[in-house]
Amino acid sequence: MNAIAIDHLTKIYGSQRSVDDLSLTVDEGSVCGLLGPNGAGKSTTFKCLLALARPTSGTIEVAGAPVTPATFEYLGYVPEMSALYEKFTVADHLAATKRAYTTFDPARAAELAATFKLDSKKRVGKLSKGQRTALAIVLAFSIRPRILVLDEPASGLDPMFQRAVLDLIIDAAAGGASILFSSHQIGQVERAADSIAVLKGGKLVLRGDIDTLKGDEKVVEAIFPGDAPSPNGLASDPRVRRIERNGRILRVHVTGDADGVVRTLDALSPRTVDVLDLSLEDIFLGAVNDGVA
Amino acid sequence: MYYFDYLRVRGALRVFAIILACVTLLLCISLTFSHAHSGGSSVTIGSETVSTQDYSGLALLHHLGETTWFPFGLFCGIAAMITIFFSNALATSLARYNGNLHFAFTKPISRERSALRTYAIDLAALFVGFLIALFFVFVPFTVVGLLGRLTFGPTSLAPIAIGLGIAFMWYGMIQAVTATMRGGAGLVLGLSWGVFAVMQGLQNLSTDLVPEIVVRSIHLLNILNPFIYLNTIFGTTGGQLTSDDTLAPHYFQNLATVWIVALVALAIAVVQRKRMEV
Repeated sequence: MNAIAIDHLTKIYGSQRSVDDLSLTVDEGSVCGLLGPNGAGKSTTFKCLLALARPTSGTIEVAGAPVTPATFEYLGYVPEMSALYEKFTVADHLAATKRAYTTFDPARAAELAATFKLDSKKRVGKLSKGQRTALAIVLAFSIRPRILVLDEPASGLDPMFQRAVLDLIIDAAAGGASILFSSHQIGQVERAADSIAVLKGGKLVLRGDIDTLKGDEKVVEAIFPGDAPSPNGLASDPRVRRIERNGRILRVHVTGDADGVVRTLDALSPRTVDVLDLSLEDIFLGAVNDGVA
Repeated sequence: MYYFDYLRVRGALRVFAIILACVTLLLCISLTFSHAHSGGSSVTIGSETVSTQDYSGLALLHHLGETTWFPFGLFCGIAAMITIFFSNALATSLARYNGNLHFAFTKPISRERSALRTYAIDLAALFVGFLIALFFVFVPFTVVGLLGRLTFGPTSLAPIAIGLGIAFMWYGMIQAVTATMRGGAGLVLGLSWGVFAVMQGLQNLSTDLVPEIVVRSIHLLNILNPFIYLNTIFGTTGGQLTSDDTLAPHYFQNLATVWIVALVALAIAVVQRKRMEV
């Protein structure tokens, strides 16, 4: 069963199509990183997923059922912007969460608050942006949720606490939790996620397992003594996703077997030809720039 | 998030009690040291007329207390009036936390139930506020030893029901208007005073000046005006300080109206919350 199943979700605000026919599933016990430039529709997707906004069309299921208040008994959420109560203290928030959930684990909450060095007597209004994010994370993880939806969970945190958040995500996933999280920091996604989904303009432009994507995607880089020539015939090759010419450098982005492309470039007498593995960042940028699904 | 609601009303009640304590203290000081210096000044309460020339305020009350009985309903009415002011401090409780909905709406409780809990806590706070007000209304009275001069009648508690009803009606209407607002709820609350005061002033507009339809419309709109019902509170003493036997005219009709308006307004606020997008 899918932990999260989004089926043909569309959300329109006025004339703005924020999410456009998005279909996405997150398997039980897996971690999916949701990537996309600003305004790609990630937060709107989360809002629809959590019933904070009504989809214009499409359906959403969490743990095999539509989202109801009971869903939140086992779903933890960290919003992108702080939604905490500024006039109340960290301890008040913990107390409120304890009263709201039957699954609240006080020992876990205390442990996490200590990890993020949160002063329980401090009012939220006096906390820094990073500390507010940390408190939201503490509250979300202290109910030991089966499903986690995290919208930029490391936003505003220093590198040490970013690492702590990543460890929490990995630990939760190891414990069987299903996680959908967004981040602008590709390195975090690469470390924590099993798969990624890339949104652009509200549309899903890339979806897949990270290892598979990285295994399939390669860059053939050729450096010429003079300006790089135009590689005739390569553009029509179905394996070629993109060609970049930059002075003496010619880069060809390839899906699958790169041998044929290497042979074609070799015929142009370059100084060197190398086949490079793509990083997740390359894959993300490629998807966002191409808009190729 | 009812725990935050609990913390909120606890804070509001604390401030309310402190303000009333200060006002009561000032009143007691003022009564103790105030004298009527000009000759011939007098006060009439019930059938008793007393010269104020040689009395401080407290002494005057004490003197009156030797011959005058004080209806318990009068004190309940004053406390209820004060509680109506207090209801304003609670009236924007839904809008106040509309910046926290990502937190509040992702908890295992329905939006409707959450709003109803907020109402229940606020209504309980209104009642506690009434008791606090009643306590402070009695303080100066008790200080001069007049507690034994209280009278109780069949309508002594009537001001509580109508007074809290008016308070809850005002609270409910502000909630209905502001339930989905992200800001400006305080402005709506402040403007409501002016609107209600003006509408009350227009209640007695003559048909000689404006068409009858206008007058009828004003009367109709004033059904929603808390100020219109204030007379019902003190009318329960029958206009007589020494009486606790008479209900104000239309008491039960007004009582039903204010509570129905309150409940309908609160239901409207709940529906808006349910449909609200974050």
